[in-house]
Amino acid sequence: MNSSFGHHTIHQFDEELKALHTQIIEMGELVLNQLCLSLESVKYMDLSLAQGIIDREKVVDEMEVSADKTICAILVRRCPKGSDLRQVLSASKIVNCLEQIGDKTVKLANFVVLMHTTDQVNTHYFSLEDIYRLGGVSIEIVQSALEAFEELDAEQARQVVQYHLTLDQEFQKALHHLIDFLQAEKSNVNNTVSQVLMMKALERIGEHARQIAELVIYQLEGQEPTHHLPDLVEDFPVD
Amino acid sequence: MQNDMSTIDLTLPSSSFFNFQISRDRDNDLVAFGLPRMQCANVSVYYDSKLAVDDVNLKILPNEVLALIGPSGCGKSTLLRCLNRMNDTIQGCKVSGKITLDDQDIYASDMDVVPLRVRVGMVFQKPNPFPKSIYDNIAMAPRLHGLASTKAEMDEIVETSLHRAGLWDEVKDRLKQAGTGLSGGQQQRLCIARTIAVNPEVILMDEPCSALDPIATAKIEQLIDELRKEYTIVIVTHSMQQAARVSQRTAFFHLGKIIEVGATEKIFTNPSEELTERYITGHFG
Repeated sequence: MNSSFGHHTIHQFDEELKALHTQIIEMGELVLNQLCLSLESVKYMDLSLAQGIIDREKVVDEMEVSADKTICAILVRRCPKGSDLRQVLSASKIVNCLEQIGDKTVKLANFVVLMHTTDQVNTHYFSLEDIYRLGGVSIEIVQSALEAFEELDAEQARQVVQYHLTLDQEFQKALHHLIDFLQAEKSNVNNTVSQVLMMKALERIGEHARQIAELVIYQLEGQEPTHHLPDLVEDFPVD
Repeated sequence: MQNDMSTIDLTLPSSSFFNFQISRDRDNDLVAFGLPRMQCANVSVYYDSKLAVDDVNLKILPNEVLALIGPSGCGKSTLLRCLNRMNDTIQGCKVSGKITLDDQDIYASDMDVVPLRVRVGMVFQKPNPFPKSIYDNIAMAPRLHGLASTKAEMDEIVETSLHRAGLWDEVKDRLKQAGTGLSGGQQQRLCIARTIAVNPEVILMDEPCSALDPIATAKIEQLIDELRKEYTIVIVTHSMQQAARVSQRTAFFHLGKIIEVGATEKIFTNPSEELTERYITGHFG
């Protein structure tokens, strides 16, 4: 039972739901752009790019406030029901996920600023290959989740939920690389902690993208998002 | 009790006149078993040749508020009126199928509609107090049905009914005044008090708040919630917000058929039927 922005008896309601959808797509595009730029800034240790990302975070926050106002107005004015209600509930949570992704991109940018302020741009000893690989996967997941939202495509959303597992595996792999590195180079603990935090930020970005995908499924089909308990595995119990 | 209560005639008809006992100590053991208080099986209603209700099956559970929603002319009010045989008075109205109240066929040939309408009371869209005093509005039905043998007993029925309807404090000092002199919301609560004065089992409400302002509506909705503890309530409403607020289950009607019945929360967040979805989201109706 797909949501539709057309054919409500009250046409203005169609417009309001459509405007909310567009607002979230725009916020998603900005957040995705922030994510791509933050990885680029890490790759090239580009300070001005990193500072631009930090500055633009204000815009992400403003977009969140604006979307919240739209959601609140729809709830008050229209008392939505059925798929309309699910759309508004999903929108509220997706906006929150996007804001969280925005926060994580700032963490990545902050790493670049830290490297510059501590004069370590050319002297950090560890390889960022794992970060680039994790970053690549997280960009793909976020992009795909946003496409699923834009097109209201439950099938694509399910693929995102599945693909998210890849990011988890990449994250665990990267942690093991870091442990090997630390055992060999015990003097680089500070840098390694920074790298773990960056990796964790990327892992969280993927998790938020998965939540967005599950909310798309909820909006379209009414299926409640699942809550996974961590499996008892040999990997690190990170969540 | 106040001293200004009317002196009333306590010459009462015998309750043995009816084909079952009317008791003020109605036990509600059906609740424990979860059995339906009323049940409609393959009910169809015709107005002459026009089919108004089409093969409806519906269970009404004890101590629930069941909301009937649907666009105008979908048959919800017609079905409601069948539940205490109010349609008997309409010429050309023909009801088929079976409607039971506690497993008793209410359309059986030996069923007396007078006690039936005691057990299944009705509140209408427009408040319709009798052109009598507030006291007499409440006392009239218990008097007719022999539910009080002394004035003290009748006073108690009047006071209890007005208390239950949340009206006592507002009218206790003017029980002799005309019921028609009350505000719209008070008149509707007086009608509810009048209905519960004979201790019904089921209360039918046909858009009880459509003529009331938001505050009066809120008072009635609060009252419905309180009454649910003792009575089973079926309410027809055009306000989906009201259905969502007051009911535990909702039935959606369209063109005389029940499209979907279910928990109110489910109906208004994730209905199973496309037609229900289209109605509650305002795509038609």
